[in-house]
Amino acid sequence: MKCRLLTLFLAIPFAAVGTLGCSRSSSPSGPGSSGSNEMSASGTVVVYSSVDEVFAQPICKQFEQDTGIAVELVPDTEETKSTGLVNRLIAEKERPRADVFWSGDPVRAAILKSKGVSAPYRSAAADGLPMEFSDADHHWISFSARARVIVYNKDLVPDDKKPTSIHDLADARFKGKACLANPLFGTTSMHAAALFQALGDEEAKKFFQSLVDNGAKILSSNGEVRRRVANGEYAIGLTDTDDVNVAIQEGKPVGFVYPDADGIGTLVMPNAVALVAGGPNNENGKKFIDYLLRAETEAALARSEAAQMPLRSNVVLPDGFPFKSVAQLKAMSVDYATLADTLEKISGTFLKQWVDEHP
Amino acid sequence: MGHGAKRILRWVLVGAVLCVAIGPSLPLVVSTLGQESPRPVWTDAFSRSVQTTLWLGVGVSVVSLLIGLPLGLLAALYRFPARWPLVLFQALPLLLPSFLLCIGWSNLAAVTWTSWLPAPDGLAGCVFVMGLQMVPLPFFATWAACHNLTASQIDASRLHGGDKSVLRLSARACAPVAIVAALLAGTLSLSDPGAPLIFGCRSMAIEILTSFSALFDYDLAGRQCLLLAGWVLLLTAPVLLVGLRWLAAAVLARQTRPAVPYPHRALSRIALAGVLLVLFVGIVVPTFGLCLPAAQNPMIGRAAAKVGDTASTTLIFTGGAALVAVLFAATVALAASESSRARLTSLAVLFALLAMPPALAAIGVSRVATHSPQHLDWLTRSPLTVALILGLRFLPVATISMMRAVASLSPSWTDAARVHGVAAPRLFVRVILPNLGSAITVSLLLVTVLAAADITTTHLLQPPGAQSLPVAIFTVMANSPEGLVASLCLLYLLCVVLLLAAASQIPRLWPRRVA
Repeated sequence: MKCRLLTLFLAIPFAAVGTLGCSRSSSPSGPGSSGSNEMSASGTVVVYSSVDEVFAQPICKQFEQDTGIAVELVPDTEETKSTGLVNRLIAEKERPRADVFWSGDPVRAAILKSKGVSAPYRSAAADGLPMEFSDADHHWISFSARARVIVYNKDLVPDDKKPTSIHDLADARFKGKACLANPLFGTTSMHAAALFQALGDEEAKKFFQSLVDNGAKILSSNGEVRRRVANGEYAIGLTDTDDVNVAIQEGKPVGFVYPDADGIGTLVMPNAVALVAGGPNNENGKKFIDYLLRAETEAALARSEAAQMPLRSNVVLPDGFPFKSVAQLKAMSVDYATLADTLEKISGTFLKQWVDEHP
Repeated sequence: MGHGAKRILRWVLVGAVLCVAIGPSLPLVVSTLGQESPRPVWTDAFSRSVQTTLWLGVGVSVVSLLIGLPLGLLAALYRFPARWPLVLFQALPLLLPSFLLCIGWSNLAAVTWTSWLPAPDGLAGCVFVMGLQMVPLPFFATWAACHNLTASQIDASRLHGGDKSVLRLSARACAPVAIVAALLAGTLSLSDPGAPLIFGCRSMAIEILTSFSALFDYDLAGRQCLLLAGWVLLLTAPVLLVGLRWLAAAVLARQTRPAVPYPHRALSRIALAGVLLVLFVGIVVPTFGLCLPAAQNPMIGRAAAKVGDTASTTLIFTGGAALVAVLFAATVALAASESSRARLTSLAVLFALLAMPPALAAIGVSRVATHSPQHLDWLTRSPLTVALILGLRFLPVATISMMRAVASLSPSWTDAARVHGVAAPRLFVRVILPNLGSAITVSLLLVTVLAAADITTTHLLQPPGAQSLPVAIFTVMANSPEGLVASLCLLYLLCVVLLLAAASQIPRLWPRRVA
């Protein structure tokens, strides 16, 4: 009797699985399914984006309106709390679901190139963009940028004491009051790699050691740095311009400085877009890339809450734009094409060890 | 069919379900075993993280047990105002991903008028926040176990030694289930990197996350996952062995008349105060901290649009996961009902799987899908995939509940049905199903809420264009206005409360037809 009951129980899940599966296989939104192919013919592009959804979504909507091509956006989560889209892209490499990867920084795009996930695409829309920020083999092309800045709490740091250099995070006046995100993840990892290029290995290591000596705190993300500095838990922190802009727009008592304007300069972090090799909607992917690289998109991103800095010098900045243009900045001198290699070299060795030993 | 053949069939069924459960994790594990990783697994940092992780698991288990067991007993045995809704709302902390609760606590610590509150930090902070979050597991396990005690047992113990005796004997009867649930809670906390990241606690989950996300070293991550699973197996197997023996003893007494909650003047008040206190500290305080920005800059309209966009997908993912988990759990529970060795094997394997980081299975499935023919996309790249993997991940939760329920089925019912020639479907619908009803309801509810809070699996597997609400919150929280994130969290909580209210009506559909 129990065996017959078991048989009955077994029949239910398989019937349910079959029913749900069959119903989805005919769904037009089922990616990779036959339905998906029909969609691709009628205009779909799948975009994986590590750019914050709140900034990427309006651009995608505008693209849909302008071209009639539907965008299926897969945004990334806050970088350190999940394994993220780069892993997903690598795992899906043999039969990708994505057509385009829109990265918030060039390092992730360069990693995809090294893993054979991206394909070269020379976009005519890239004319006017400074090519020193992009891959020489056209696997990824950079456009609108953010910058790494020092955010400080105006209630805790008077104007005459505000930091001017990243070395101020190791200064005695901010002992135990400085913070940064985990340098193994996100844009902080890119910053670390850039510092190794700009300062040299020994100086960079000394800098990180000085942070430990001064009691700088590692937090989980740049958003966390912004939040904790804004609410006064920490006086200063290293974060990105878009984070700072959100805090400013919310009326938080924060200010920011471009670090090392008289020294190594400020790290500029452009967006990078890459065409996924073998993506299901290759032509639409190229159209999306072309759209992103237009001057109009750079202007739209400058107007957005992210307040991204256009790389083109001829894009007019909106009134009240809180940041300098890239041309006005003293940018840190780094080789963007090799940053991923530098990061790979230091991630598993020095940075991992530094994070492990950090109190 | 002979006795030996039936025994083999049962083992085959248990083995088949366990293989399905292990399947998604295998691709990465197999590739790990086949290759030499250039990085050593057992470093000083990893060794320290193992130690921290063990303390974390033990701490979360102990905290959740110490609160969940007595509270579950009091809530099950004594009558107090608004008892049923308050009991249901105890599930709320499980609904939020732990990092949201952490941010809530962190926000509160920064507000001037709440700065007297101790700010959770380090290992203690993780144990505090995650322990409170996991209280519902031993609480509901105790609650369910208590409802299997008979009215005559309760009356007899009350006559013997008053309510002190009732509590002591009930605690003894419910402890095995509560301990297993607390172990489950501790195991669940091991692979969650959210709280350890925010409170600066270097657990194994952080090491594995680093290997996956910063080093992109799948082989290293795979080995670390195997080590984590090994530790879990080593530590939980002895407890499970003892726990299952207790379980077997606890179900010997047959229920003839369900116990009715007793209106005791003092203990009812204590029960009410207890559930309110746990609700207040476990969910109200951190949620208040999380939603503070909504008061300054509410964005309810924008948040409501997001909820509307994601509602159906969320329901498909989580409801599907609950269905998958319950169906497989019922299969395991029925197949293993006559063998304690089969039960132990099933639970040990499922516990080890539960300790694995969700990314292991999710990336494994992605790898399989990428090499699979397109006509299998309905299985490997669809909403069904997300539901299936989430359901398999939380299979242990449903399995424990179903095993307990199946153990309480009387063999005489099936014997009587056989003697009278009652068909199996009729016996199933008229007798078995009503008696499994409450366990099915509890399992569905628990797996639904746990699956909703599992961001990693959903995020890595969700088809383009399909986004669940928790993942939507997770993706916008980095740089969206805090008012929007807070409004989303508020609406999410509201949805959950409505879900719980609806769930409270389900038992009416499952009356116990067999006395």
